[in-house]
Amino acid sequence: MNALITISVLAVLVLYLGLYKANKALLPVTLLGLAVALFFTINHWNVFTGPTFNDMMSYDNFAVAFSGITITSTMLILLLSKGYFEKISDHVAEYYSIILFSLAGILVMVSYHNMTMLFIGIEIMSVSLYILAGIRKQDFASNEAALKYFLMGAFSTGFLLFGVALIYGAAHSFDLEAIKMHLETNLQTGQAISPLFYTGVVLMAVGMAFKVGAAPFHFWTPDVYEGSPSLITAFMSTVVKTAGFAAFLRLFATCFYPLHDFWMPVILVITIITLFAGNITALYQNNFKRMLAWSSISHAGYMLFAIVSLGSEASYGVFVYAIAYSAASIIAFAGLVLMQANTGSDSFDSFNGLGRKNPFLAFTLTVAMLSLAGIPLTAGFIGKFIMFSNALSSMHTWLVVLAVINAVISIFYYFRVIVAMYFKDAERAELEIPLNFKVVLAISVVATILIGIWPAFLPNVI
Amino acid sequence: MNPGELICYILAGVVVISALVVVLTANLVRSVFLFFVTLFALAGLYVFSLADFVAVTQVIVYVGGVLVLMLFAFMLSNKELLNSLRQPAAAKLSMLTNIPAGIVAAGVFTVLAISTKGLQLAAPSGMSLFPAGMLNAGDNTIHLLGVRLMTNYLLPFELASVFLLMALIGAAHLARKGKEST
Repeated sequence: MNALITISVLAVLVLYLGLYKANKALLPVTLLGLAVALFFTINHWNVFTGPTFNDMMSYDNFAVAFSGITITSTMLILLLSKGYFEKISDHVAEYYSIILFSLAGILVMVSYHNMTMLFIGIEIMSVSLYILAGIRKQDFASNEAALKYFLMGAFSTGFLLFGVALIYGAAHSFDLEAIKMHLETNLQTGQAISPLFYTGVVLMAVGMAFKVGAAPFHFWTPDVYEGSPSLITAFMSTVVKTAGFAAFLRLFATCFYPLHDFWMPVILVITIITLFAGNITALYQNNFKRMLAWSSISHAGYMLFAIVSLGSEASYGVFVYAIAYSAASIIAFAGLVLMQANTGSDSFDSFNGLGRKNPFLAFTLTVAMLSLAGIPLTAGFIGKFIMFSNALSSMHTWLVVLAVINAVISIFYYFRVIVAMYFKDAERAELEIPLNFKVVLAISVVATILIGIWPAFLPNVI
Repeated sequence: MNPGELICYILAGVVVISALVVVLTANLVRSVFLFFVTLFALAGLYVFSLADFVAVTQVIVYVGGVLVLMLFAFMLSNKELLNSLRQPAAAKLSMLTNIPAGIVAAGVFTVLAISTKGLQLAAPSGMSLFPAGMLNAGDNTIHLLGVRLMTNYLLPFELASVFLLMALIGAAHLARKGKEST
């Protein structure tokens, strides 16, 4: 709760700083505030006694873990933002403030214990993103992204809300524990569960799949990710995606678990379609940013594994996968931002010859691509390994076979970047890498390799 | 069927039919005016669900606020813009492109129809539609709502204010005239 208050107040404070034209102080104050919020979050670890605030929130270890990842990723992304928003307009404070509000919504999303909190959290997060997608007011692609995201997002929220309403109609409660009790008592006494409940579960699954960008509800993702400013895209594809999965997992793993025979096939089909749609389309992209958008869809497929094969390790699997994916994506987007700032292009060809001129950047990008592809000795491999072994232990052998095929497909397009950097020569000037980028790249690479070599470094915190 | 039920069904029918016409009419102004009817009838349905406060807010916020705002938008925008919004007649002929949407809509409708078929609104064995301790027809719902909002649901209520503040900042930022656009 302290973290939530800190971040909300910080957002207002940042606005005040903007009002008094203290633009130099914005980034340090934001980072400091986030560090305080992170400290408060970690303080909650292992002290969980039960849901608080009239059973609205539950700050269990699950919430602590995912709040921790999202706050840390936000700090890394904001570190990259030095001098970035100034190019868009003079009113930088608003951008920081809206990102912070979005993070506040995310903290609610990962620690809710009541459907109303889930809804409000998702709305705070998404509405901030609609705005952030459109902050380049003069850029047509940015406007298109904002409008498309807004319309699609509003539509999916409708699904989600309808699902909540139907479930309330069947179970007479918004409380996750009460809904679970309703299901369990009905199943034990052999009473029929109202058809409204089944419809509600399906509608909520549709709404959540929209929010995490899983196929067949992924059509907004490529255009929105491509049209938004690159740093905002980085925020969307790491922090927001992690939060979406945390909310998804909490809802289905705890609340709807007694009904898993019913919704498992639905999620299974969504997973398989997501994997294939994401990976096969990513093969045909010539633009690095668009490739990352499609690859983020395919990674949504891998993360859905945790929901398909709910086991004791499911939360841990998503936790590790989210860290691995966030670290690698932040590196990739940092590279993209540098490339766009220096060459104005984001096609694969603009990476030609980078290996000779900028060995450090090329090395970090290589590690990121290897991690995203799931090559051993990187964090991505450990994430995929935990997901796959979970799925195997719950007898989803075919799913794992399909996923391995997809992992092989993904190697092809990730390696295009590496090939371009090291094996294609081009006359190019050396990119200038600011210090803050170096710090973020170094932190992410160290995290990726450390988890890859020594997974026990990450304790099972959940 | 008692008169109350009859009125309820008539209202429900009005909602469904007028909503259909709103979607199907090509003329935007006409659909906005029909939307008035939909929202009013919906407010009536809320009254029948013992949610009189929601009914009142529905009339004040949607009928009084949102729809009037829509009408203002029409009056302030120019005629050519509205004309271009109308779909060309040729689009209706190419039914082929509508097939996927039609299939999805039919699918959703089937799911809903199946789920309502199994639903017994007259609640089974001794359970009323509103379980004990929830609501009676004579209750002062505004009082109950106020108490709930300030006790159990205080946290969501406060967070809604965070949400509104954020939306306000964002809207102000997006609507502000930038230096470059002047």
